[in-house]
Amino acid sequence: MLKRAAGVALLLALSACINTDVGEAGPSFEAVTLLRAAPFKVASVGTFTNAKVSGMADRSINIRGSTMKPPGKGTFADYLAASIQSELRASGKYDPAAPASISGRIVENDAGENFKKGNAALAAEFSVSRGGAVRFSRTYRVTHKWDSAFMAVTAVPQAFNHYSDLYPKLIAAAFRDPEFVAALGAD
Amino acid sequence: MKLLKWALAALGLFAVTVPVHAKFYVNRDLGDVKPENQVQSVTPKPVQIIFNFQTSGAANNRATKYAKPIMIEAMKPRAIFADFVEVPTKDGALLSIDFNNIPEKGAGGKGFATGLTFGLKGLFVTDFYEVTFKYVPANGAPTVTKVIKHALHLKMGKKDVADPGIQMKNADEAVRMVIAQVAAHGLNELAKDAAFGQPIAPGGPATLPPPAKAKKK
Repeated sequence: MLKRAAGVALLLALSACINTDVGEAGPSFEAVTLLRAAPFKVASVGTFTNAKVSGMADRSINIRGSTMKPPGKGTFADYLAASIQSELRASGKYDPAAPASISGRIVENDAGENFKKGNAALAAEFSVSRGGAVRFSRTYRVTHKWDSAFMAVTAVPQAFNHYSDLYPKLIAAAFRDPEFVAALGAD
Repeated sequence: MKLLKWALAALGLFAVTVPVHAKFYVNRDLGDVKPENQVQSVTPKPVQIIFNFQTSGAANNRATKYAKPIMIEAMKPRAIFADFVEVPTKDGALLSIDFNNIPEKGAGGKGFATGLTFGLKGLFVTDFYEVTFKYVPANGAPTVTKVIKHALHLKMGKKDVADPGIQMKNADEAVRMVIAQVAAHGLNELAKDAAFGQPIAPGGPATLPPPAKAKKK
């Protein structure tokens, strides 16, 4: 009896598969304050895609058999676009008809851990275009490192949280770049 | 129910999946705002709200979805702001709340041991909360920052603790009470700061929003 209980508890601790989505993209204080001060009036958000890089996650992140997916049937590139839109809306700078449009391409997307340490990386090329012509383009990259746990019930959500935290950080990195925001304001 | 599971996950209480009865206690240190310290805004105005739940400093979108409406409901009766909206207000007033949950180190392992021994090895773990309120009174104004700390305790199995805190019916109600107390203190502290920029007066709601069927032990 005790052996069985031990087995069940061990299984719970080590496996505990979770299948979830990354959650709704909400605004962050950092990006909203950056955007409020940014010298452009409004911007729209165009298409974000995933670069065709072998092994790069575009529809799910897997940690010990558990998966985190983008919301709905979209890709992580769609999620990045939605996150940017959310930040622009919250700062009063989103207009789908704006001449300046932000689009991009995810070029790196990864999360993993080895029972001791975890790390995640997200990089995307952000482009600003007007009238269909690209005026500015730059790649931003953010990473997270954390102490992981032996038990999956702790390690998996921990990894997912650190991974999803990359999105607001990547967006803030772009909006912190004076040349990027200047391109959004340039005629 | 799914959200509650995630709320528990957010609290670092994965051990509750182990079939041993768990009890939840709200730490007594923060408590209510004392009536003599309570203030309210004379001319409350709407504020744009940004709320993010974090676990050990990392964004936790699922827990944000669960906790944000609870936080807003808890703040409404405080009479500091007229309304909490998602879009920019006329004057640019902005309130950001980072609700950071810092689980006790090794809590998962303790829960594992408790489950393994059917509660013979008791468990008492703490979820710490560090909640940062940032308020920008208007476009271009400097940010006012206040940090409120709180804690929630989980007891399982045979474990004697002299004063574990205020016992709650379940995890959901415990979280609601933690949020209500944090909301009350956070807004009160912001309003009392000279940089708040609005006239205030003593007073406010007599008690916190109902800490749902709380019972004192």
